[in-house]
Amino acid sequence: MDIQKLVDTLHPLERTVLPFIKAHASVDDLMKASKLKEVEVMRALQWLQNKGVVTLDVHESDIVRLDVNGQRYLKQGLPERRFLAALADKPLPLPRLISKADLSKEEANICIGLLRQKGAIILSKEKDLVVSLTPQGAKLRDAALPEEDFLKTEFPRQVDALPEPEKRLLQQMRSRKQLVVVEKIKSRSVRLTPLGQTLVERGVGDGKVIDALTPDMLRSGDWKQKRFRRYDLTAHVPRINGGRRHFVEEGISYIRRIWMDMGFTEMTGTLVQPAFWNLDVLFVPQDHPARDMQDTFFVEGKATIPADVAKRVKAAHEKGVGGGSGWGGEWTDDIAKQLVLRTHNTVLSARTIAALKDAPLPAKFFAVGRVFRNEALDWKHLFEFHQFEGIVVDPDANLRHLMFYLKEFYSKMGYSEVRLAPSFFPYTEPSFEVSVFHPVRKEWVELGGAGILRPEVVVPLLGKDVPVLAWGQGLERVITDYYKMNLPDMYSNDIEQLRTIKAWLR
Amino acid sequence: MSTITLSRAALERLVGKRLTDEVLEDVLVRLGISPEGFDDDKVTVETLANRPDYLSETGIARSIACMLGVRKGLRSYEARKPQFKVVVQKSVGKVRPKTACAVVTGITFTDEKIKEVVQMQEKLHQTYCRNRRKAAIGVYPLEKIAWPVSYEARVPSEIRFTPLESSREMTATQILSTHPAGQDYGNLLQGLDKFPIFIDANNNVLSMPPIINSEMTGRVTPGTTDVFIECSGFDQGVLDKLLNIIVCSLADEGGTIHSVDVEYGASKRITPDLKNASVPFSIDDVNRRLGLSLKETEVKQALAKVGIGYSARKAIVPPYRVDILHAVDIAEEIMLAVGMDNIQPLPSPVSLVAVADRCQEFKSRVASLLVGLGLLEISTYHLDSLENQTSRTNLKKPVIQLINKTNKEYSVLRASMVPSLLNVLRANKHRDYPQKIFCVGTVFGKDPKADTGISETSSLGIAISHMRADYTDARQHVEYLLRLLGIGFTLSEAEDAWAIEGRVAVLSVGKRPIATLGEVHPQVMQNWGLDMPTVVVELDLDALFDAVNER
Repeated sequence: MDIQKLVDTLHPLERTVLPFIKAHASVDDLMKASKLKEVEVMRALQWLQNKGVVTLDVHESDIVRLDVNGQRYLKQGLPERRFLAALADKPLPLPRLISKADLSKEEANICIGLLRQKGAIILSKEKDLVVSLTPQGAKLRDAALPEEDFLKTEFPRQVDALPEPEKRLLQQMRSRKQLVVVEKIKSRSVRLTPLGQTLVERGVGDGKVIDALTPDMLRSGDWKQKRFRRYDLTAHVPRINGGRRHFVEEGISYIRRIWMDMGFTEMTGTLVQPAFWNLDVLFVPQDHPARDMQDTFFVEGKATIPADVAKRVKAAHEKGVGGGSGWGGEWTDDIAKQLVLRTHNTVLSARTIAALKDAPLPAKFFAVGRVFRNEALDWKHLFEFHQFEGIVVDPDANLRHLMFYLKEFYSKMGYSEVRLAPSFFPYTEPSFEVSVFHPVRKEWVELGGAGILRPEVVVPLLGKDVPVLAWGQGLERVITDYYKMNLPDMYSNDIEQLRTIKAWLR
Repeated sequence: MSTITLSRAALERLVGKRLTDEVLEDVLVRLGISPEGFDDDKVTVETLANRPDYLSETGIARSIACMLGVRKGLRSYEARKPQFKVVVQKSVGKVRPKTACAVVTGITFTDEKIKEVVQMQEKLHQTYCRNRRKAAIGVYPLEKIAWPVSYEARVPSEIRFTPLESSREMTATQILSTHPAGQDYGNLLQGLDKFPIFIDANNNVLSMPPIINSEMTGRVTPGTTDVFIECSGFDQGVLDKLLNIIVCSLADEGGTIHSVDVEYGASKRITPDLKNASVPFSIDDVNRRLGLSLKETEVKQALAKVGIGYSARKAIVPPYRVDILHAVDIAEEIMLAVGMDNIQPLPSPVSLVAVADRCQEFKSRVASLLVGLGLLEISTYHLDSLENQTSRTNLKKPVIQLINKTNKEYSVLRASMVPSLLNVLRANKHRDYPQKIFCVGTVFGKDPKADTGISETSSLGIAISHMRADYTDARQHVEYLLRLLGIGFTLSEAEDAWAIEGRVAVLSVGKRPIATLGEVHPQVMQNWGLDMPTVVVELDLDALFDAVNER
């Protein structure tokens, strides 16, 4: 590599550190010499290593330092020193000795054990235990103890570097309470590579490298005499996070646009609905399982329902419309006035049709919004999710148009094949499950329901029987499929997920 | 929907043809029955709720045979003149007032056949009978019964018999408390002074509907050939249909149907009623609905494929069908016969100009502006826990509760966005700060003027959390938003217990307060286990939308 080019890439931190690395240096030394912080030195060394200028080595080693008692004894003297000193020349009863030497009971016991082992004291039983000094003990009292010498050395010390006698001494001292601590530490050192040698010999600073362009330089034109530091253009840069819409909202925006492109007007409505609009006007019998507590969320309170529509709905349930039979049995207001969290957006279609009255037909509507089912959260179920819904109110509409709308929609969602399989819903006739052929999984995937609303639904709402094409589908399945995620992850609101998930690119 | 497992051998015997997997799968799909899996012995399918007649081998075989052309058209069923009588006593009037009964003779019951009939009975109980709430079925060996049978209600302590799967006689009260069926279905008799029973001329109890049969007179065993069948409940129409499904099924197995006189005091009914229904329909209407142009002969052929007769613009519908409520249902039958593969999409000529909901559009615009400030949108549930919406966040707003609280964590409608925001921050304590999030959703309150009595307001929540988050942050974000929307506002000191006093403001447009912004109170932070200073804005988007429109 061109050495000049290399020099031009050096960051100010690298320039500061490099001259202090002779052949070999520890990070600690470099910090002292360069007066830089540890992170700065480390960053510089990391960059230099990336450029092949130095090699970083990490060693693990044991060091010893004084613990709390060690530090205390360094000032006060070791307990055994105080013990010997207090004994002076004449024997003393143990209690007096302990108080004179200012020892704890524990320390006294250690001293007795230790000094007896060394043959320095004798214990005799009189009224109290009496301690007297042996000649050996007198010698000890006047000489320095090896432990004392050790405590006085400069810490921390590398355990590996201790002379053999001190190593043995350390072993003994480690068994005493909080005297010394031995710890593992990582120490880092750095070596110059041959390239580094060349670089150091050549010198790195000629003061003519611009690190950052400043307004002053631009005004003065100083930069003309200088060179710009060259960057490592491939080096890692920290990630930034931006603001963005939730990925489900991105999907919803796309789906709204598809329906609007096809000329559908948007419907909205409340999340809490009278059972009347959510179920009864849709010809769902009053003993249908959708009314069970385990299927639908019921909300405290009681709805008011429009008497005229209710009368017609009652007749449709009990006696049918247009020569039909209805469900039979009795239809009651009370059940219709229960409040539910809407279980499908077909409730919005029902309200829209009821509001159409004498509006010109045909008319087309869609909605995208939340719906609720009384489910436990698990891998396959959410209790709150999104559905889109569409209706076409058109005297000339038929099943083949329904197939057309669904095919158009799903092809824009990335599924080119759509299949309708006969199914059953109380409010449509015929009724279908809508499946698409999954281009990757190579299988049919069931996505939603569709059909043509029954006269028992349309007549009470609109006053006449007009074909109403209708469909509805959960969004979560297409969205999880697009993002290849699991259902429970959709609304976990993990900020990391929201910051990094790919954009909706359909 | 119901999943049932059928014997493939029985199915093929009843169809009268061997069926390859391919043929079987294809014909089931055409009939609207989802094949869930087959092997050589078993066929598992999912049937639709409107076809309780598909809950047995016989019902499905009947349709397969028609669709494949093995047998064509309407199959008629007849019942012999009644030789048996069931007397319905006044005492059942308030308890379980109706019944429909029949006798079927000449069937050889084997273990296999008993299993098939029991499965049909159980599946009918679960679905069409709404877990026996609406109706219940009893099947008894005819030979054990002394005629006439009485249907009556008695005080529970005076009802004594040995129930199925038991070795000793019990009173009705004991059956409800100790017998498994009594424990499962006893709630259906709750609160009644008297319980209904079928009892024969020898004073032997046949059963106590809708709970259990008697072991002595109510157990069909291999070798039984003749059976008495009763359906009891509340709606004569439902019971008649239910009985038809069962007797037609047994007739397909080779049985002979006999009527039963059912006496209600002075009036007498003869059940079952196996007359076909005649449903007038217009071929034009069918063609209009399906987008087809079938001629009368084609319609007739199509109906024959689904077991329905045709005569002079009328569909002749067999007695086991419960799903033909209206002429429109005939259209679907014809569609099944034609086959979905033979119906192609047709572009609609309708061209209309779409109109987006303006408030939805407005919300999207607000969201885009906030995204420009580097805020991340979250998506939260409208259901929350009562604790989050009250004590944990120190909120005092009235909270609307669910009646069925399956999960305490999601048992109320949120009254405030603040807990939703704090909940997300709590789940993200390990993620990089600063964290700046926003959420658009509905908050709920009381509103006597709404048809639900509940107000629903679009709310915008913003939370900003980092080392030095303070009121200024909140203020800057709201000011930016309102500046770009061209809305002037005033600020005044607010009292909101989730925030630090003196560091929370209410923002008003004109006289209408539309937002609260402030620093989250340390006690609330502690309640939520949060340790990074946080500011929150809660803004009424509907009010802001009004302000934009009034400007």
